[in-house]
This record gives sequence, C-alpha cells and structure tokens, in this order.
Amino acid sequence: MKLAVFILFISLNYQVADLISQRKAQVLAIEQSLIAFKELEYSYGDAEGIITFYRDSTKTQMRILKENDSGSYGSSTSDYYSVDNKLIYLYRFELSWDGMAPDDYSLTCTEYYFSDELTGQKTTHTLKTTSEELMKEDLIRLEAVKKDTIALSVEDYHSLYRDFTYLLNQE
Amino acid sequence: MRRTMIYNIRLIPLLVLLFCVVATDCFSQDDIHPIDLSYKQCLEVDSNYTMVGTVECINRAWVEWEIEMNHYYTLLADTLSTETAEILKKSQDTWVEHFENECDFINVFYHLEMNERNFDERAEFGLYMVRERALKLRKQYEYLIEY
Repeated sequence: MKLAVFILFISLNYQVADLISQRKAQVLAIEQSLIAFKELEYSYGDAEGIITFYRDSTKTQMRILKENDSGSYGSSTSDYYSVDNKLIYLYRFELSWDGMAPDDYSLTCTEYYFSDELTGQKTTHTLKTTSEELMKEDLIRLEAVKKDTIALSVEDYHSLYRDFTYLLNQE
Repeated sequence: MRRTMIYNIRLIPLLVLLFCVVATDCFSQDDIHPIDLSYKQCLEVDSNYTMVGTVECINRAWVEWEIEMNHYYTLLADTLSTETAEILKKSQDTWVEHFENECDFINVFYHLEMNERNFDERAEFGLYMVRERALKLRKQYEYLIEY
C-alpha cells in the first residue's frame, strides 16, 4: 500500500515537472519567432503602463506583455503566451502594497503553466519588503525563497484566459 | 399529523426566506451590468488577489464606466433640444469639476488624515462616482427614448 502511494506521489511529481519543463522549453522556442507588432501606452486612474503585443508570422503564437505602474500601490508585469488561442504560460511579477501600514510591500513572482487539458500548475514565491521601489537586493532575496507549486483547475484557466482576452481586445 | 403540520407551518417562513435569498441572487445575476460583472470576475482572478492586482481591476472598470458615461452623454446630448443640450453640457462640466475636486479631497484625506490606512477605498471612490453618473445619464436617455 505504502509503495503504491509512493509510486503515485513520484508519478504526480514527475507529471508536474514534465509540464513545467515542457512549457518552459516551448516558451523559449516561441520567443524566438515572435515579433512585436503593437505597443499601447495607457494612463488612467492610478495606473499607467505599456502593453506590447507580439505574434509570429503564422499568427498562431502570441505574447502579450503588460507592464503596469500603479504608483504607491505597486507595480506589476504580466507576460502571457498563447498557442492556437490557448493560454499556455503566464509570468506574473508584482511589487504590491499590502494595504495596512504605509511601508508594507511584498514581491511576488508567479508562473502559470497550462496543459492542453486547460488544467496546470503554478509556482509562486513571495518576499516581504518595505519599499515601493524595486530593489536589486530584494530580487536576489526573492530568488532564494522556496517556490510553492500549486495545482490549477479549469476554472483558474478560464478566469486567466478572460484577462488575456481582455488585453487581446485592446489590440 | 397535527405535529407534522405544525412543523411544516414553522418551516414556511424559513422557506420563504430561502426563496427570497435564492430569487434575489438569481435576479441580481440577471440584472448585473456587464461592466460590474467584468469587474467582479477581474477581482476573482487568481493573479489579482493582491492590492496592485485589485487596483488594476478598479482602473479597468473605471475606464469602462467612463466610456459608458461618455457614450450616454453623447446620445443624450444628440437627442435633446439645443437649449436642453446646452444645459446638459453645463451640468456635465460642473459634474467633471465636482468629480475632480472630490478626488483631490479623497486623495488628501486618505494620504494625510488617515495616514494611508484604508487607502484601497480611495481607488474605488472614483470608480463608483463615474459609475453612478453613467447610470444616471443612461436612465435619462432611456426615459427620453421611451417618452
């Protein structure tokens, strides 16, 4: 019984690692073939930023990079990759005010990997900071923080895909 | 039998209450404005749970309500008589000025007086003001069309 659970555990871990490494390799390959075709600057309310749209010659592979600055609320970078209108990867990096004391900020880096079945995994790690400015030493400290791996459901996929389509419609 | 009936009667207010809750929920789902729905969905996205994510959702909804407000302002102005449209223009200019003054006050209030506590409420303030104005202009335009 213990052996069966152990084998199942190893097998699940292998599948997670497999999806992550597969998507990482795919994103690297896609990146080479993409060309930026539009840059959209925005400024409204408490936010300003740039959205850059990329696609390949066949228009089947896309990347949308959104760099957002919300002043003292923080800043964020969202980097979406899609193939055949399916989201395969999202990189999200944030420096966010925590909402309580003025100097309470946190740095979070989350990577979403989606399978062909629209489920997937995310890896995430967070670091508490005290500055609304992005500091090099905090980035180094964040890298040292252990990443958590969490399973993603189809619902997670759809809500993130909605965000992706919202940006796509800005094009 | 009597005992069962008493229990059933006792259950009626509970069932009515349950129905009201369910019905209200159903109706509110049907009546929800697409921008409100999109805002709600944006807040529910896993990557938007943080303050900066929330503010991105607020700003997105804010822009959408601003577009909606301008849309109904133009429709209304184009439908009204010249004299009334002129008064609407004055009213809108006054509203914009009032809106900017309110935003300035709210900024200072949360920044200085509240020592930046509940600062997130500030972000939603502008959104709800624009939303209210957009809905008001839409209602007036729809009244006019129906009339």
